[in-house]
Amino acid sequence: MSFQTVPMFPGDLYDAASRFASQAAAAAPGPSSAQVRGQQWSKVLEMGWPAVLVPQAQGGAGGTLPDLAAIVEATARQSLNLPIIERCAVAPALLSALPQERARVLLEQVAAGEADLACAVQPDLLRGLDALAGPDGSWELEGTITLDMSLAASHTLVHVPAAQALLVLEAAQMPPPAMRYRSVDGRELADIALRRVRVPASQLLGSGAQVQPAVDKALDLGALMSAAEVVGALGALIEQTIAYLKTRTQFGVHLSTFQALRHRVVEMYVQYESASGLVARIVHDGVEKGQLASRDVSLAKAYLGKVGRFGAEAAIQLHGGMGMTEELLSARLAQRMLSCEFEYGDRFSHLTRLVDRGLAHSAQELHDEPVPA
Amino acid sequence: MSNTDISVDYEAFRREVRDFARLSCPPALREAVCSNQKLGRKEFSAWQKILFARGWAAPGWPRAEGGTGWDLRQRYIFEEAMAQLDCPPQYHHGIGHIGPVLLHFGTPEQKRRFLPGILDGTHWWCQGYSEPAAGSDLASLKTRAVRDGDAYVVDGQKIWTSHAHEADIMYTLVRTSTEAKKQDGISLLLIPLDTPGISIRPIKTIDGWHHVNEVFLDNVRVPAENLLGQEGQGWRCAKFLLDRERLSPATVPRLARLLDQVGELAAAEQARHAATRDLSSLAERLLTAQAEVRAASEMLLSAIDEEMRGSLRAAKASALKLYCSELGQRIIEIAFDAIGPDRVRRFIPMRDMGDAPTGAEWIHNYLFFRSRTIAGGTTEVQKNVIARELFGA
Repeated sequence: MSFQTVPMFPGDLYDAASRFASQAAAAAPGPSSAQVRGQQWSKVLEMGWPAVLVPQAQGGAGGTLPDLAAIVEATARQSLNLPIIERCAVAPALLSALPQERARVLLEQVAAGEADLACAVQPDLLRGLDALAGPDGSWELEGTITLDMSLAASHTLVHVPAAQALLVLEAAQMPPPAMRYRSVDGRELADIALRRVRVPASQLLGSGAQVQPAVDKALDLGALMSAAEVVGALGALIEQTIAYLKTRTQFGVHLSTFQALRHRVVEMYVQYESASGLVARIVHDGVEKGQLASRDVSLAKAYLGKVGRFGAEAAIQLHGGMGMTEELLSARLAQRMLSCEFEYGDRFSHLTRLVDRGLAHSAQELHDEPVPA
Repeated sequence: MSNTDISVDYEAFRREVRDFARLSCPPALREAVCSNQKLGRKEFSAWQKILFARGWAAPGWPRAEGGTGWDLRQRYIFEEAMAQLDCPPQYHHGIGHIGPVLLHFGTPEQKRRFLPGILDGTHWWCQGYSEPAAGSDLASLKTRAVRDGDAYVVDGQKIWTSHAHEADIMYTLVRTSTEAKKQDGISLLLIPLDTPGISIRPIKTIDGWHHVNEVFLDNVRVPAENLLGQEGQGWRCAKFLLDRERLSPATVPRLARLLDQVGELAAAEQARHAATRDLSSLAERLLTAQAEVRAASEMLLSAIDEEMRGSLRAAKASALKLYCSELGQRIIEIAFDAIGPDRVRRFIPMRDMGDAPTGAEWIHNYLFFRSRTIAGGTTEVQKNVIARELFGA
């Protein structure tokens, strides 16, 4: 019986997501195409994943953070490049945190699978963004946003920090991309230049002092889920690396007999147990306290940045020449783990946030015990 | 071996090569090198032609064979100047691999046919060694060459063949006998890549560049006069270079130059995002790398002295190679961290942007450098080789 890592959030939802991911990967092995991703996303909508974090009152499943984390963890294992975190976590969280009626209506559409929301809210994907209010309550949007275009979206949420506004753009209002890119992990991204794009008042989802905290909460959720994604990918990587070393022979013996290689896998495993423990704890704490602690999220992201880097580099090295090829799932998982660090803030930006906001406290405080003065 | 001419004026030599580097490198080539872009046949051949015109086509070859006759110290000075002034490195398969093997094992006819094209950069070589089941254990290779009249008929598959897609000819290790010890059944065959029966399939690597390929050989007829050395001598030919050219004078200067560039990048990125993304912790890594580059320089210089005196131990040469592989990875990783948020996502433009650098070169290079501890002998294998010398077993 080959070694399997123990997931952070086992259960029916993990199993279902795992099955979906395996079947999706088997049906279309290798880096996916837009058409394949579209088919996969139809199944995602059927399974109701965008509705998991939407309250029942808004037509959602009223699920919990561990529910979504189970989905993220399981699908991470196949490097499918579906925008699950963006559309099933960040978008619903952002809309839920805004009091406006329009936000609630859009949230219900998301839960019903009628709206598919891309998000331009990560600060480093917004450049020179501003929105000027017009006399009729409309807004004129200016600046550049970088979007994940791997999957078509019906709407795009755009955070404009300079105007303290959260706007929603419909697909038809989006200018064509100024430049398209392939990311390291095989996603399609685009720079979109917004030049005096007029947005009617009806598309303002939030304004004023309430917007930034709502965005921050959604970004914290995105960050924690991206940490969960790294854990899921690392677990799969350990299993695949063990399987590879047990089958590959050179000099008449299996590579798994070489001590140097065994030890490297052990190091990956130790990192897996520590990282999965930490991320699971922060998710459960979030449920217990009703909200995520920013400090914990930043610590997790800072740590998982290193864990992801270590795991990716180890997996590549242990697979030898094959580890450098995109044909190999393990190599693609490594690319994904390297890229995950830069989603929702890399370790340097999270460490900066921790230091700046005086959030760097002692390790003891993580356990919610009073620290003697 | 190298000349130990104690009357060489190394300072005058240094001035001479630096002047050449400054004046002879076309701006477009320098720009490509300076921005750490991937170089291919076009760039390497252009530079080789310029070196050839200067009489410097083969820094490591004897003068009588078209080489410069320089000693190791001069070769180091040359490589240092080329690195510091952003001239292209020389592509190693022709000048550095098959050329010296031809010089030592080739017939006069083979030298006449092949050496000129290597020297002037018009004939382009690639290496057909590894196979899917024969990587670290190269001696277990299976590509078969059966003598049939005046030709060998070759069947099999090679993998990780760098630049096969733009090469003219492949120097190939083939199995000509299955009887003796496996190394003794290997021969070295020079196979033109336009021979019928050869197909080349590109391998997509995680660095987003195209270097390596699979080469499939199906009933490929190769003239018997393309056998280099005797049948069964192929392994000895392959080992010949490993035993002779144990030091690579180019590696350390290139790392030193890379580190300078990475330092500039880190400073620029720190200035751009200081408020939200403090990169001051990169300073420790940069300074440590500076110390390590200086240490590598000293290791190389002392190894050059020892090699010229005939006292260089194999373990030290291997240790330097290992040290430089890992140091290179650490240096480029600093760049990856510095510019990651900008270019990990906006990695490969989906429209031809021409040759202007975008910053994504750092990401390509970080991923490419992961192969430094895999290609040409994994670090695990190299450590075992060194350990056998240290422990005597």
